[in-house]
Formats: sequence, structure tokens, C-alpha cells
Amino acid sequence: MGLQVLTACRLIDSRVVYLAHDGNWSEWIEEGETASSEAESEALKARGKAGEAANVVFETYLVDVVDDSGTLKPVSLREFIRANGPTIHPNFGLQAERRKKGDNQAITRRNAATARKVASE
Amino acid sequence: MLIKQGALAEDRWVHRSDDEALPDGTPAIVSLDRWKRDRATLVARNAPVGVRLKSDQQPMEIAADLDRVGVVALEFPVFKDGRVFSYARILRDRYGYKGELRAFGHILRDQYLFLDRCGVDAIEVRGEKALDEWQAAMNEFSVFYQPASDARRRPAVALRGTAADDVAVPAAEVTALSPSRPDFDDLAPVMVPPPADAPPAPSAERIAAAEARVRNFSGTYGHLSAQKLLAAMIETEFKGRIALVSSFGSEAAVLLHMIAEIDRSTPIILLDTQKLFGETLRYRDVLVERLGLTGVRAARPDAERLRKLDPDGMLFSRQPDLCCQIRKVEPLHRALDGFDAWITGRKRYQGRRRAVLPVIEASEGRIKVNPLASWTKELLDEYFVEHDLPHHPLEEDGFLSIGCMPCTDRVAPGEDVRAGRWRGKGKTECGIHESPAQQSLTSSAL
Amino acid sequence: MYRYDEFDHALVRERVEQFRGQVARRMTGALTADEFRPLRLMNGLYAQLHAYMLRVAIPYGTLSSRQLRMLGHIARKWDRGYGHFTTRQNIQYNWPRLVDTPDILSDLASVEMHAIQTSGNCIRNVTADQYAGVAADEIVDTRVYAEIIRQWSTFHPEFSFLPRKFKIAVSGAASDDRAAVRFHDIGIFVRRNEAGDIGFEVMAGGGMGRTPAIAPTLHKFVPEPDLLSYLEAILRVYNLLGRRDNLFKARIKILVMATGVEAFTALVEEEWQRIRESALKLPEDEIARIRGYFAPPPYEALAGVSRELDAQLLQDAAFSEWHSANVTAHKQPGYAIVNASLKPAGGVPGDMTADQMDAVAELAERYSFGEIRVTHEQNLVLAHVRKSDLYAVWRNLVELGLATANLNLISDIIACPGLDYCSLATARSIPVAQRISLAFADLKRQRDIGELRLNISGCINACGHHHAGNIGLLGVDKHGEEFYQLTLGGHDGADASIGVIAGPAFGSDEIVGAIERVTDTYLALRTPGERFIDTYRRVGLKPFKERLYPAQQAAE
Repeated sequence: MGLQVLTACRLIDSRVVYLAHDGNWSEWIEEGETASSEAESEALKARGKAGEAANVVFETYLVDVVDDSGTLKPVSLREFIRANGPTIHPNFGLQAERRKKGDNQAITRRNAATARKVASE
Repeated sequence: MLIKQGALAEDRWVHRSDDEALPDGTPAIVSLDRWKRDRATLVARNAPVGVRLKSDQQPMEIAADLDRVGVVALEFPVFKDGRVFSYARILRDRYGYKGELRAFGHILRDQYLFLDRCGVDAIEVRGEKALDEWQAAMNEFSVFYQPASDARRRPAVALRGTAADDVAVPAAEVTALSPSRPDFDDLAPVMVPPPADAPPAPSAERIAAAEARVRNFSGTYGHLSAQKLLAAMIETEFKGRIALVSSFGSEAAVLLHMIAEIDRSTPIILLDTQKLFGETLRYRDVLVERLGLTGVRAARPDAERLRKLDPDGMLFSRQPDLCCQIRKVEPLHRALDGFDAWITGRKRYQGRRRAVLPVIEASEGRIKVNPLASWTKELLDEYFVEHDLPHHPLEEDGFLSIGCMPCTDRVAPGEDVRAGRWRGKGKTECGIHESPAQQSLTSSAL
Repeated sequence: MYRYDEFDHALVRERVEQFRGQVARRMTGALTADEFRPLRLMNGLYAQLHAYMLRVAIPYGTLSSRQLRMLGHIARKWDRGYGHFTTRQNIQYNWPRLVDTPDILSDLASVEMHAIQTSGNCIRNVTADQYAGVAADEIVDTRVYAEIIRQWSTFHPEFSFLPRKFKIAVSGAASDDRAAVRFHDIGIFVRRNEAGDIGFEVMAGGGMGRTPAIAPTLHKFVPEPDLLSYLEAILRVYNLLGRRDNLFKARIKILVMATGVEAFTALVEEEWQRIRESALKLPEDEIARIRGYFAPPPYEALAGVSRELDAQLLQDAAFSEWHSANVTAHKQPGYAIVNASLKPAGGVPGDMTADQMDAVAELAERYSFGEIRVTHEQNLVLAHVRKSDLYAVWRNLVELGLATANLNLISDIIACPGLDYCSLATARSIPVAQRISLAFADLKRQRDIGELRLNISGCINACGHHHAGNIGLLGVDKHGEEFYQLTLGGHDGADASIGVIAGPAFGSDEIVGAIERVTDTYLALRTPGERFIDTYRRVGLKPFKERLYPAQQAAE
């Protein structure tokens, strides 16, 4: 199977979030912890349910992603829009912030997350 | 846990499934299927039997047996299944079922009030939610727009109707006469003669006498406080021959309170134009109760005049001056018949035409007393606080001067207090405080 | 306009506090996500693709300047500086936080507004003709009855957990229907009989969605005092018998179809006779009280013709073009109805910034008795503008970007938010609308094509009314790609019809070209003065199909 991350809606504002390696919910898909096997996906799902039970997030589910030269890109258009904001309002949503911060920083973040994951294994 | 009409109740009933034996002597609730199957035995049983309906079993199925069952229990398989609400209403309204009607299953506390309104008087709830939560849910609303199966809550339309006393025009005539839209040709001034039963115009002698009296009064009473002036007028000078004309508007409580302190039976005239805000009529009721006023009466427009001049009740939008004339000025003249003096609540701060208002004046052969003429908004506010007087409900909604509903608008911050009266109609006074000579300036129609 | 009394105020404030409590219970987990969903939906709060979305009710599309300013304030303070007007005359905010919604609702309550029943399986906000009270062709002012229905349906204890959502629309024009009433769960035409009495033609079972239907008439003339008992009878029959096992078959239209119109009507009639003589009977004084709120504003007595306007029309061609497209006849001499277009070329249909809201509120105060209407076509209306003020109003609208002279033309597109916002959508709507309006940006070309309604939905739920568009587009997902199914012949006037699918869906980059082939075909076939819909009805689908799918036609 390909890569998956676990996404959810954050209860307080319903913003799109991804389960990160450190157990937090991140607005950045780059920080999402990836699963590359069914067992890993199941583990993500279980952690998502815990987040629902704790009233931090709701509607957790897995999203198929591809590793696009160091950053994670959702396969479906719907998830791409969720990850980036409305295509008609380039000034709203994470795409704007991402531009502001610069893609490099996002990639750095993603690399840091991967590094942590590798270290913990 | 069983909650009956908002209180924790002992549940005498037990639920039994279709193959369980019924406990001897204990009231038991069985399924509709079992009721149908074992009806004869169940009816003959030594304890009451209740029937529970699944959400796909309509109450029509038990209708014929309603006088034989002790309770009807309606099941919510999931809270979203709203059929139960209709079942309850059908049981109560169509079949007149008077016994206990309970709901059980997956019920949200947010549904409790709706259930109660539909005639469900008991709910079985899972224990984890505290009783006070359910009780709170029952009291989240105090206003209900529509009638339902709960006679104890009156819908807003009924509450609005109570205070309004009666209606402008009988129904039949409205439809017969009203065009679907006003005929704007009517905008041209129309000559309208006064009504046949209008009190005769005051004689020249009477007018002169009143004016002379006012000149004397100014020396005697001009220095008195509002309260002392009122006492002198009501108890001495015009005993039994003076009335207060009150709008029951935003500042009216001050004079009403002062007068109640002197004599609660002082005649008080409300010009009920039949276009007043419902709030005003309900506020009147509140003040009458609170101050113990016993002399309040309504002066209403003449039905015959309304029929002739304002058949669709929309005269205010076509000829506001004529509308004020037949709904305020004429009824006031009739109501003042027999009084030598009247008291008004006008103040100088209320705007240009009132800026030079005297405390005592003569008007068409009568004395007009304006005890609050010099009062400022601040003084009025203080009086409200000092005597803990209730405010007109429209005040906090931005209405500072309150007249008839169709011709009163909110006043923006910084605007004149009476800016919302007849907004856009080129008019600032209704005419009850104008002499005929002044009126002719504002109303060429008359 | 209707004005809240203390009962209305109390009810809305109590609703704000109730919702505040519900939000608090959700935050602590006392309410589960599943339990909270219907509660928040009943207050117009969705969880959309990126954030919560709050839909605010604009009952029968009527707003005061004070209210529009508050909508702008909310957009600025709690959202991202804009709002989106919907096909049900409501407004949506796309970015509110859950924890802020009680305060937003509290702000709304201060100007007599709320989000009550703007979603959920309950009776939704009632819609009406945007020209109510001012249209030259009106029989009866619908707002009176829309308000009566609004009150009756608000927190109706019996009908708050229906099988599915329930929409009611009211129209009172003699021959036209500007509220698409036949596409509603209940549609109402206010009528007057020969004796001059007011009554209602009541239709039920219309709708869009995956099974579009035009509502059949159940009753030709329900007498005025019986309006609510008749509606209650329909709702009760629906609540009892509507399907709850299948979400897609739960609307009343399916029940009407499955039962048969005659049998369904009989069920309603039977229930109506049981409850007709009850507290639901409308007291004449209550109708009169509410009618009083909708009295005409203090119009000036003006001549029907404005020389000033006539001169301005001759001098300024752009003004004249706007005037002929966006200005409509008013029943009061010397006044006109102005439509402010929310469909600039390349814009997002129905979107409006907070600054525009403030400016329009100001304009309405200066020129239109402080009143604004929202249309189901997602435009705004200034309902009472003096003819001599039209030029000034137009210049203001031009500055605000709200003067596109395209009312009822091909770029006056109805579009749902689509996959850019909506969690149900299968494809994007707005970018397609933007590309089409840019392709047809030349107003001369649009005028030449004439009246043509183009509607776009991003999924089968049809919030963009594609079934009722002369040209309809339905976005579908084909193996992860956006495709658009094209329908022709839909119409939402008094002679409503449902569009027919032309053939296989077009890819996203083919769709604009396909629409141009449709308009070209129409231009080649029309007789002088013939509208698109009339040409279509005359010639049928075939010639359009031949141009749209030449290869396929050749193969056959």
C-alpha cells in the first residue's frame, strides 16, 4: 500500500488537522505522521479515536498521500483542497501561510518530523 | 429514571418483553403485538396494563383501546426519529387521550421541551444525566410561536392578542374594501368634515376664562416642584375634573408614579389608536398592576369613522395627518369632555416645537398642566432608578419616543429623541397638542 | 419590514443561550459528535471542508441597512471579511470558530437576526419573491404570509425532527414566479378569488436533489385563515409517512410520488378537516398586525416619468445598458427596483465583502428607505429607488463593483460553493462559474444572447439549482477528475421545467467550449426575440446534441 496520514477536524474551529508524530494535531500535512502498512494505518486510526474521545477532534479518517519530493501531497482533489484551502481564494487557508512562510520551511518541518520518527524507532 | 412534568417521579410501571411473565399485581407495559395477541387476558388482569409502541407503529392501532390502557409508551429507537412527536399529538388531540403518555429510548435533553409541548408528560431517561439538566431544558424557552398540545403554554399570538383588547376593523370589511395596494391618488389632500358627535368648539368666554386662570396660576404654582404642583391640581384646584393623558411610552412611568402617590384613582386616558405597539399595551398592564392605578381608561377611535376613512387600516401610509386626526385628536376631544384640565408628560428637551413649553397653559378652554416641562433626560433617569420603575420594553431596542407602531422608528445615537416619530413623513407632532390654528399649518387636509 | 416585539426578542435571545449551552456541552464531551450534529445544524452550523460554516437566516430575503451593517461587522470581526449569499436568500460565513458562534448569534440577535433552522431536518427559513410589495405584477404582498409561516415554523415542537429538510417558498405575482415555488417541498401562490378574498394555491413535493420534481397542486384555494392548519396537515402526513430508512428517499417529493398526488392530497385533506377548526386558525387581528409592518414606505407623490432620468439615459450608454438590464418596474409611480449584481466577470457568484455590505447599507439608507432584499439568484435588490436617483445609485454601484449589467443573462450564474468549501461536493463550481463569466465577459455578447439562466451545482444535491437552469451544470467526480454534466431546458418561472441531460459529461477544460456551442446553436436557430428557453422548447434537445457531440452523432 501507499502512504497514508490521519486527518481530522479540530473541534474548536473545525480546521483541517493531521495527526503528527509527536501526538499533536498539526495544521500542516507535512507534519503528519505517515503510515505505510495496514498495521501502521490501524495504529493511526486508534490514536485518532483517542483524539475524538478527548474532544479535541472529530471525524478522523485516513488520507492517501504521495511523497512529492520531500513534501506530502494528497492524492484526491478533495484532500488537496482540504490541505491547501479554497482554490478560489489563494489568500485564505494554508496555501497563503505556506507561501508566506516559504515552502522550504514547511519541508524543513516535515524533514524534522521524519527525523524524529526515525530516531524513535 | 422517570421524569414527569419536570420532576423526578416514582415509576410504578415495569416493562415486560413478549415472552416474560407479568408480575402479579404490578402495573406492566407490554408491546403492541402482545396487547393485540393477549388482549382479553390483559384486560382482565389484576393490575393496570400499558402499551408501548415502536416508532413504526402508529397510535391509530391502539386508538380503540385507549380507555383500557394505563399508559402509552412511545419509543425513540434513535433521537432523530421524529414520528413520536406526531404520535403524541394525535393521541392527545385526535383521540383525546388523557392518561400518561411517556417517551423512552434515545432522547436528547434538547427534545424534552418539544415532547412536553406535543403532550408527552413523562420520559424515561438513562440515569447518567442529572435531573437538573432535564429541568433546565424544560425552561430554556419562555416564548412559543405556535399552538401545540400543551394548553398551559400560550402561544405568542394569543399573548399579543390579550393586551391588544380589540381590533381595528372587523374582518369582513377589510377584505371587502381593501384594495391589494393603497390607491396613491389618495395622497392628494381630502376634505374631511369633523364627526357628527364631536364636542362643540369651546365658547369665546370659556377660552378667555381659561387664559385668565392660567395667568393667575403662574404666580401661585409656577415655583412648585412637579409633585407639589400635581398635588395642588389634583387635590385642590381641579378635584375630580382633571385627567392625565398618558402615552404609556418610554418616560410615562414618572408621571404615573407621581400621580399614584397622590391619588391612585385619578382618571388616566390612554389614546388607544389601535395602532399602538403590543409592547405599549402590555407595559400599561404592568404599570397599572405595579402602581395600583384604578382610573386608567382607553380612548379609542370611532368605529364608524374608521370604516369610512381607514377601511384597510393603511391610512397612516397615505395620509398620516388624517390618521392622527381620527385615531388620536378626535378621541381625545371626546375623552376630555367633562374635564376642566388635563396633565401631559411633555418636556422641553424633546425637541424644537416643545422648547418653549410652559408648565401651565390654556388650551381651547381647558387648562393644560405640564409638570415635567423643565425635566431633563437625566432627571427622568434618576427618578426611574430612585423608584425602581420598570422601563418600556422598546426602550432598550432603540425606541426613545414611542407612538403608534407603523409611524415610530428607532432613534440613532445623537438624533433628536423624537426623530423616530413619523420618520420620512415630514411630521413631528400628532396634533393633540396643537391649537386649531397651529393644526392648520400642519394639516391642510382638515 | 417586520419588527421584533418583546416575544420575538426573548425567543431569539433564549435560543442564543440554549446554543451557548449546547456548545459548552459539546466542548466537555457531554454531547457526542453524533448528538451535537443535528443540534448545530438546526442552528445553521455546518462542518465544511476547511472550517465551520454558519448560515444566517434572512427571512424571505429582507434586510434593513442596520442588519446588513451587522452582517458586515460579523464578516470582519468573526470571519474573513466576506460573506456568501445563497440560493435560499440566506448568507453564509465560511470561517467561524465553534466557540465564537454563540457570540456571533448574540450579535445577530441584537439586530433581530438568527440562524434558526437554516439547516437540519426541520422547516427551513421560508423564502419569497424578492420584489414582494413593490412589483408591478403583484396580487398580494407575500411577506405577510411568509412572516406568519416563519413564526409558526420556528421551533415547531412536532416538526423539528422530520425525515429530511423541508423548504417552503411563497410567491404572490400574477403571472411570474420569482421564488421558484414549484421546486420546493411546499410552494405557495397567494391568490385572490373573484370575491376579492385572499387564499393560497398550495403545492407540495417539488425539489431539486438527485430526484428533481415539480410540485403538483394539492389545493387550489386554501382560505386565508386556514393557511397554518393546511400546512400543519401536510407536515403531519409527511412526518408520519415520509421514509426514514433511506436518506435519498426521505424528502416529501418521494412520498408524494410513491403515494400518488390524489391519494396524498386526500390524506392531507382528511387531516386538515380534523384540525381546521383549532387554535391554528389565523385571527384577523394578527394578520392585520403583521400586514401593518409591511406598509409601503412614505413614498413621495412623483410623476411616473422622470425627465432627469430620460436625459441621463440618453447621455450615458453604460448607464442605459445597466438600466435596461438591472432595473425593473415598480408599482409606485416615479420609483424603480434596482438589482445590484453580485456576479462580476470572474467573480465568485454571491460573495460580498464587508466593505461592500457597509456601502450598500448606506446606499439603501440614502436612496431606498433603508431596505435591501436578497434574491435566490444570489443578487441584491434596492426595492424603492426614485427614478431621478437611479443615476447616482448606479455610479455608486459601479464604484463598488456591483453594477455588472447582467441580470438574467448568461453570466448571472447561480452557483453553489462546490468543492472549494463544501464537504459534500464532488467537484468545484465556482472556478467554472468564473471561467464562464470571463468567457462571456463582453456584455454586448451577453445581451445579444439575451435571457439565459446558467446554474452550476458541485454535486447531486443540486444546491446550485442546475435542474432549473436553462443551461445546467452538474459537477461529478470521474476517477478523481472533475467532469461536468450538461443539462438543457430547465426553468424556474411559473412554467417550471426540469433540465434534460444532454449527453456524456465534459472535462473541466472542455466545458466552457461546450457552453459556447450551446449558445451558438441557439443563436443560429432562434426566431427574432425568442428567448433561449423558448427556442429550446420549440426545437428540442436534438440540434444542441448534434453540436455538442458531433463525433457521437456521426457514429450513429
